[in-house]
Amino acid sequence: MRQRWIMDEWRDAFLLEARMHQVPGDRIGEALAEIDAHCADSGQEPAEAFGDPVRYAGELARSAPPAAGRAGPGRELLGHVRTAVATLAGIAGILSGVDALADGERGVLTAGQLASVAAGTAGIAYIGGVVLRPGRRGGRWHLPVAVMASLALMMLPQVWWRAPALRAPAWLLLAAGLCVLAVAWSPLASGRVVADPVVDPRTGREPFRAPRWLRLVGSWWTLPVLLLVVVLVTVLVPGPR
Amino acid sequence: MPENHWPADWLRGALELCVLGALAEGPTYGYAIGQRLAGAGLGAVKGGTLYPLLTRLEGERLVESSWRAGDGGPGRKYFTLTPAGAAELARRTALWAQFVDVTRRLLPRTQEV
Repeated sequence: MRQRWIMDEWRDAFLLEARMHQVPGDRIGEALAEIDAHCADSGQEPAEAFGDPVRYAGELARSAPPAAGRAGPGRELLGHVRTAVATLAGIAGILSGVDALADGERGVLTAGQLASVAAGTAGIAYIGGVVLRPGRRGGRWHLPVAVMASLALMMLPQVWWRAPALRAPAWLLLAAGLCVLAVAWSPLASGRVVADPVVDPRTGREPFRAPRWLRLVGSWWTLPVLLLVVVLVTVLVPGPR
Repeated sequence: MPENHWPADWLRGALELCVLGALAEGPTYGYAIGQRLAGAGLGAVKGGTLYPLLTRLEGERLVESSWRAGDGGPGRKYFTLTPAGAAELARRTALWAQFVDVTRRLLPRTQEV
């Protein structure tokens, strides 16, 4: 069977909802294969045979036990928020530290940078806890609008609110930023976070697979590499002082 | 009585037993189970109702499943009654017969529908 990247709208909605309910990946793959087989036999579309995809994913979640070893939705969201705080704070520390080291000055974290960390954290909590909650009915626009609004709320304070909020030696900001970032991302980098892929029981493979370039972009090391690029640009390109 | 006119509450109570009964005839797949139930007069059972029920039965070890390659199709998942499922079917069938007997004695006599 040819591997698809994106399934049809019904299956995509079903998959997303089943993931939110923490249905194990192999069980989701099994359900997708059942849907394929049933629709091939009956000649029906999934919506006709299985009804609303969000409701059906909820039914599936109630009939199958959740993925073993996973925290509940609340604890999982809390984990994401913790990672977001650490990541945003770590990046702010690293960039400020590198900037100050390049200039030979004492490091400064501005009030705008701290507000940006708070806004980014609130945005991720909102997206994880409200936009992507199981059974959501926010419409297709909800996620892109929430992402754009979060990004805007992160950028604006950095531009408008440059009053120093915290001063520290440049090396200390840099080291603290690196440590916080390393601690936040070590579970992902070490492979302790299980990917739990959706597997088609008929082929033993994922029924859909993102193109190579997208899988590379989505790898855990994308953030460190991007950060390195930004740091290099900060150091090498002299900005207005 | 026309098909699909059974009260939903009755269907909810009887469906699991009827599915176990359909599987007593031998391993079969989801769509065929639905056809068997509809053919017996139970009405159309949607996939959205049938597969979660089969998943629950599998979780209770009353049913087991395996995928078999289809003829040019995407393959089918066959469900088989386990020994525990057969024992449970026998127990529930006897209980159901008693239940029908009790309700029949309570209800006024009616002409055949």
